[in-house]
Amino acid sequence: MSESRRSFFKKAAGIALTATALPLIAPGSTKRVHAAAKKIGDIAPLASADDESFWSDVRSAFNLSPQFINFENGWHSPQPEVGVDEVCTQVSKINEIPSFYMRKKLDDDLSTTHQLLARFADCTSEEILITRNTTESLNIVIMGLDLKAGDEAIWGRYEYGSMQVAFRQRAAREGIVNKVLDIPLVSMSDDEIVDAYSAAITPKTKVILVSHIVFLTGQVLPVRKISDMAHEQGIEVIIDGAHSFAHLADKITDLRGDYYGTSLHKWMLAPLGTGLLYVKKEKIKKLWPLFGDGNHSSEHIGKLGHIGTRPPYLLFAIAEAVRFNEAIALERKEARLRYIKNYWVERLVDVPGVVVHTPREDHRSCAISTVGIKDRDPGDIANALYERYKIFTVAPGYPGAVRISPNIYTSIGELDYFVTAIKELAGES
Amino acid sequence: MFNETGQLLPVRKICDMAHERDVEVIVDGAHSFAHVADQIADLHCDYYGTSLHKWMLAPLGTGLIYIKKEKIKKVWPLFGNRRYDSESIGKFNSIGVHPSYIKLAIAEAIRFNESIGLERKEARLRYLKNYWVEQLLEVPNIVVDTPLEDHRSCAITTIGIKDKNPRELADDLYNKYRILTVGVASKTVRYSGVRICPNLYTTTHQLDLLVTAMKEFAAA
Repeated sequence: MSESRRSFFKKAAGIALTATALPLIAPGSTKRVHAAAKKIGDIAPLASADDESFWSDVRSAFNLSPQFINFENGWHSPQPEVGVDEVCTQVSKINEIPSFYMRKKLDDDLSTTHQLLARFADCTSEEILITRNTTESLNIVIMGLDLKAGDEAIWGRYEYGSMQVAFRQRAAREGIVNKVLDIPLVSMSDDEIVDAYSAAITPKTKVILVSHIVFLTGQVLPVRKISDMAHEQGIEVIIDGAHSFAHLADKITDLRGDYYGTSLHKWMLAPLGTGLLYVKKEKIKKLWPLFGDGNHSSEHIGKLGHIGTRPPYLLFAIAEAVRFNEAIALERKEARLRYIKNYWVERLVDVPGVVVHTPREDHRSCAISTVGIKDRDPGDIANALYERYKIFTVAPGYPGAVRISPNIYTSIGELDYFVTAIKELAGES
Repeated sequence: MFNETGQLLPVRKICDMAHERDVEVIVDGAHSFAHVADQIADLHCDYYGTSLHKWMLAPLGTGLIYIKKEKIKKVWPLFGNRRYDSESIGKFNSIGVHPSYIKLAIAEAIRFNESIGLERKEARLRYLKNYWVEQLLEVPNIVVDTPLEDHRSCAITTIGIKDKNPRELADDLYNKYRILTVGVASKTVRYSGVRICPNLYTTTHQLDLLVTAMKEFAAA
């Protein structure tokens, strides 16, 4: 990058983030955020992945705990301060006029956020629903599929527990059959992975559930290829996008799943208890609502969202999260997240005793990876990282692996510190 | 308690009757919890559900489910659970991540209600209703949709004006007097009134204003 471009970029980025960090964004400053983002758009995302000045501005938009280093963004991430402020402001405002708000204003605000989110996700608004989390989104799908006894579902043993048990419960209650795949989460070609799913298909297979990013290890699966393969055989595909939405830059529709569910409180940086469901237009009619509905036609996605009263103030912070992500741009964000992962992985992968379980290829992982130390229990490593180094991680259940999920606010200093910590721990084993 | 009129139904007697014939009873307690002082278990029902953001004064998006211990095993979880046939109520709670901070405010709501006392609260809410209803009962053209006996209603009453559309009445109350109510007009039953739903913080002065407004509209 030339010096003049770099300084311009810094300046533009500064404007973007200053505006974003204001407690209440006036329309004018929102426009400035987008204008600034547009101006820096000609710098390739990869070229800005190591621009520490830009990313330290991003970091400053968060109010981070001084108590520990947070490498557990895979469950939920802190919101930028602007999002938290918005929630608090709206809690107070709405509490002054509760039923009045619900009766006279909520529909408009819900619709605005819905449209904004549809635009961000690049879906039609007729195909998305704001939910409370991935578990809710995908229970709506899994429990709502029109399956009968003997119909088969295929999913990997590495799928998230809440989705597995939804299928298992249907097996117990209605006699559907689950074909559980046990492919190893190691470097495999796309074709090998697709073939493993394909080999499990029988004439009775109706649906495949597959994670875009596996929660255990951060491995990215070739969901588009799996979808294409399945569709050729008339099989539907549910994509668990809990960890991929607003993490990888792929659009939902490019993944070609029939159903896609995600949380917004992970990589989208929206408040706790927000999620999204996508259902391909022509698939809505046959899905049974999880919550009974009498307000929408059978082809309207609203029929799936009859979930009663929920905290409406969260909607405003979803809108803030959309603006925040748009200001940074998803390609740039993905590139930075991958850069961060590569930064620590490259410094640890050859250290004696250290094991990195997650495939390292760019198309196989992004922000999330896993680390372990030979012959050491991962829960024990996670404890040591927290107790001795105040680095917060989790051992989510993959043998030997501690999951490391930094975020866009993570600093290089924190990564260096983490690398030192793992080297020390490995040296003791 | 019926949501459109505030009418209290004799759920305990319905439960007892149903149980004699081995029929289970689900009680919708959305409007009764922390409003009338009855304990859930005293209603003798098998299942009871309520919101906590109504009379319990907890934050939006909080609720409660009660299931009689021996009924838990046979209810299938709505959200899939590994222990779908368990006898533990926790099996209904695999609902993913919710805003954890609002649970903390439920505790505040409990302390708040306890410091007032539910019997005292119920009595005040009924007093407020009687205060304004009694001033309007004899007024020509006023129609009351809710039975007013103490055991048939508490804070909520639906009241209207003869031949006046309930929604129009609600609009008039809001536009002329800044009194927020809701016009009750369900698809199944046609009521003639607006639901009047004051709360603990309501002053008798505000109720006097309501009475004045209703008298004015009734005379028009």
